[in-house]
Amino acid sequence: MAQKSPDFAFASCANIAQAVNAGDVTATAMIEAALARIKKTEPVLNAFTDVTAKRARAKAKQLDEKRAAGQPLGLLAGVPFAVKNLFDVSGLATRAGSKINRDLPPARQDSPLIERLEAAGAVLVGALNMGEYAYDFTGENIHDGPSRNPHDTTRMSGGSSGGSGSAVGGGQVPLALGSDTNGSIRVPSSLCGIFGLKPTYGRLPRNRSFPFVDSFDHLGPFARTAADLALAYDAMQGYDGDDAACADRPVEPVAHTLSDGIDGLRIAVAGGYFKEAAFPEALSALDQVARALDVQREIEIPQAARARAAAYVITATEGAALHLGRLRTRAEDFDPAVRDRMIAGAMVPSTLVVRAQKFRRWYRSQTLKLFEDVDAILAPATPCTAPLIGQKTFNLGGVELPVRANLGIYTQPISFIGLPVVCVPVPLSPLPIGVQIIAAPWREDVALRIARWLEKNGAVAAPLPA
Amino acid sequence: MTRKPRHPTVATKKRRPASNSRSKPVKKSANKTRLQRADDLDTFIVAAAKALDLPTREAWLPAIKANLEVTLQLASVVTAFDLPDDAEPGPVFRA
Repeated sequence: MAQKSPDFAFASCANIAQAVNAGDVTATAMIEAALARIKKTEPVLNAFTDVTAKRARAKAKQLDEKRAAGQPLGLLAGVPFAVKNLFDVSGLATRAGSKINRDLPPARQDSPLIERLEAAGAVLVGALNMGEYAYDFTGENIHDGPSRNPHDTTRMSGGSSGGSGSAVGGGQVPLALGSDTNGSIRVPSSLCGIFGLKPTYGRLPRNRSFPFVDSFDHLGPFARTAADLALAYDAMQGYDGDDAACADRPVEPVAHTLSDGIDGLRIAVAGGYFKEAAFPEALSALDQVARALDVQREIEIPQAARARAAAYVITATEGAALHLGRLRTRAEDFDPAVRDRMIAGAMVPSTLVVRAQKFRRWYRSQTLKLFEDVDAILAPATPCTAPLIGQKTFNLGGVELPVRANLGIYTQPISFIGLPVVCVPVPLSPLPIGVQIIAAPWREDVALRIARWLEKNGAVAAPLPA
Repeated sequence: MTRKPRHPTVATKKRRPASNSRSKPVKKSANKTRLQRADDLDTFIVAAAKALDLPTREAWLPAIKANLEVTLQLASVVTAFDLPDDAEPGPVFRA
């Protein structure tokens, strides 16, 4: 996307890095502009919980000094970014959206993903609001208030990486990181009208971030273009043995493949479960993407409803196991909506959890067979556009259901088996909504190529707030 | 008017606990049986809280129960599906 204003608001990471590397603008000026935007918009968006201005200015100064000395700055030079506050940021307590974690000592070292982005020249400007302990799809937080949707500030940003969606969608920063256990990157991407990448389970290391459900936890980027997702993703790849689930695979850069187009790719639309309860806008967005790609084929992901049910059970119980000690000693300090789900999760018999994990293995084998015949599957990201902040229920397939637990009905069956997904924004009026591009394990490149092709051909785009 | 969902979702309305969903009918009226089941879950929650050393306030119990009912109902959707014996979970632990 071309730069919209002299302060580089809504400029892409690629454009910012190009300008800083070329000396058209200093990193210091770029970071000061970002800090000014955050200061101006934060009273409305409430995306940030911490602004690390001092650190950001020092990093920008270093970049400017390196450039003056003729040293290379990196592919993300001067790009301001922020992270969901479950990433360790040196000097900050990793609050993970909670009141309880504020009592933790400050982190002594950044998350590896922050280190890798900064090694590529990006500049951390702060930590972002999120749903408590990531058990949330709304973007609301009882302690810090809700992060707000940049396209209608009376509406949800989506969760649990709500601040990440709000900050990128609202132009505070062009890049943010979040986590996705059941949909927490894809839901805010959809509601805030931006691009989000949930990589394959095990691709990006999660050490030095606060966990939720180890079986499903993923980390990944949000951006306003597909190319920016790829730039950040490439910078963050690489094995780290401190995360037991991180796969020891070689780095597989994708940014240079984005212009390869979609010739030869076999793409299908997910039918059945993925269309049954969707609101008209979700189906319209899916149809718009499918038509742009000239996709007529529809396939059924087998037992997707059961997959969602199994993901729900594992989430409730693993989440409860993680927080058992805090539930015993500080139950009053939780968000009641989180606490009551966690206590219930602690009481679920282990036989049911093991059955859910066994089903996961079966479901994985069946779903992977689909990828023998297709390269990517399209599905809605959320059943609807952003609900109102505070809205408790919505009518889903004719049944009144809680928003908090059901905004992720289309994302849960996918993260359940760790498939890579790019969520692309369809700029419908009055509110955008996302479509998932789901690929086979380790084929983030396929999903990103399709996202870039759609963007290039005008079918998807991150809309500017009115 | 609402209708039954076509796929499992998280309902706000109370559901029967899954552990009883396929049990044989007992020789009592249906209403009384449902009431007993609800009482059974209340008893289970109190006992489980004690066994797990989880502090629970009286005011929290309805929400805990509603959440547990939903989770058990969704678990019943999973357990209703027959799996081969060799469908083992896929752990990531590596020694």
